[in-house]
Amino acid sequence: MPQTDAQAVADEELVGACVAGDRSAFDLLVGRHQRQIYKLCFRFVGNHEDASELAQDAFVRAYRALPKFERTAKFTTWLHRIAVNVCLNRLSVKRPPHEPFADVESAPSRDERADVAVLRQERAVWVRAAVARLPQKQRATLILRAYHDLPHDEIARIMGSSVSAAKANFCHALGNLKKLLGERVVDHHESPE
Amino acid sequence: MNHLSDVQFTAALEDELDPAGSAHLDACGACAAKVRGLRTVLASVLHAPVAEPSPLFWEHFGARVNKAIDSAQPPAAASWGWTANRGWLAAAAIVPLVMMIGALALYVIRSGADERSRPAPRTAAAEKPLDAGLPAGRAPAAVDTSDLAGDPPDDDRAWALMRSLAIDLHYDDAREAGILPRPGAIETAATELSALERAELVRLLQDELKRTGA
Ligand SMILES: [Zn+2]
Repeated sequence: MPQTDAQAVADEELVGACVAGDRSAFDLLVGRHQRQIYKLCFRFVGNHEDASELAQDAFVRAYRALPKFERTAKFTTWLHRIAVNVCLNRLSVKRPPHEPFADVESAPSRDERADVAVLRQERAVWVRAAVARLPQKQRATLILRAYHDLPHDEIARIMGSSVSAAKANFCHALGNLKKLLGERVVDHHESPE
Repeated sequence: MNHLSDVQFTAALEDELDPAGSAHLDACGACAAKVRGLRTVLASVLHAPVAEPSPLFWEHFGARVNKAIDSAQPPAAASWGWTANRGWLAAAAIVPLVMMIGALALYVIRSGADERSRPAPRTAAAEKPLDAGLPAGRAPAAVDTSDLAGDPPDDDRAWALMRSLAIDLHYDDAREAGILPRPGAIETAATELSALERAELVRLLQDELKRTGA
């Protein structure tokens, strides 16, 4: 498929081409979504090595399952669902080497001369460590909503739950993060970026 | 007073709270404080970016996915591999079995011939392969078959063992292994043996299984 035409082709059409035997169509799908899927996996496991492996696994599973993809469904929802399942399966059998919360807590405090960028980086580590401590459904919901900006109904389809449950999970996730982060949370509306 | 539900808190964070919820939020300090707290946490979450891997990583990612797809064995191939392995296992198991059946059959034939015609003494070279699998002190004359000849096959240990071995051996496995006896050959061989001969066959098989660690 020529590159110029490919940009205009919908994901679902590429799926059709792929099922019909056009392997290059799947390459295009991978190229389009690899960053989102990698980031999703990284949010779950918190390290590059596992995230890249999980993202790869998600695409391999998606490729195998393409013949079962329903043309009425949205490809990104379907792909995210596969990736979330891959991540949750991994977490259920192996706890990846996430940035440990305890280590962050015992890290030496920055002196007052530390610049804003370093502080922000440190906060990001705290947040990732706290997210890693959330129950799996809350973590998945938070990641999909906050980082991937997916609407609640789409998250509900990915998680196989009701829309209300997805919204409640999001609230619970934030409430638990507030407890985990304690005083570390700051109002970013007031801090310089 | 009913405070906001979790669903309504999420809606409040996203500025989609219904009019009744909004009215409550204006009047309830506790709910307003909780929304502020959740909003602050959400802001912290949003300010925790993922480090972008190097461009080189993305250049190779698609190739890695393709390689993983190509290297993954389709179910049929995996099944074939298992069948092939089973074929070799079957071959390993059946070779001593066939050899022993042959040896025992020859042994029985020869012992019968000995009783009938008392042939001339055999040479050492001819005797060695026939006696190789037999224990010392088990002379053909010691095998008395008269009292067990009519035993039903299923009650016989030898027959049961032969059957279990034959059941475990799949036809395709034997063919894969290049060992394909004539249809019914094993059954014929076993049923033509007397009960004591079959008992001896069992003992030989068990010795062989112990020796090979199967
Ligand atoms: Zn209230």
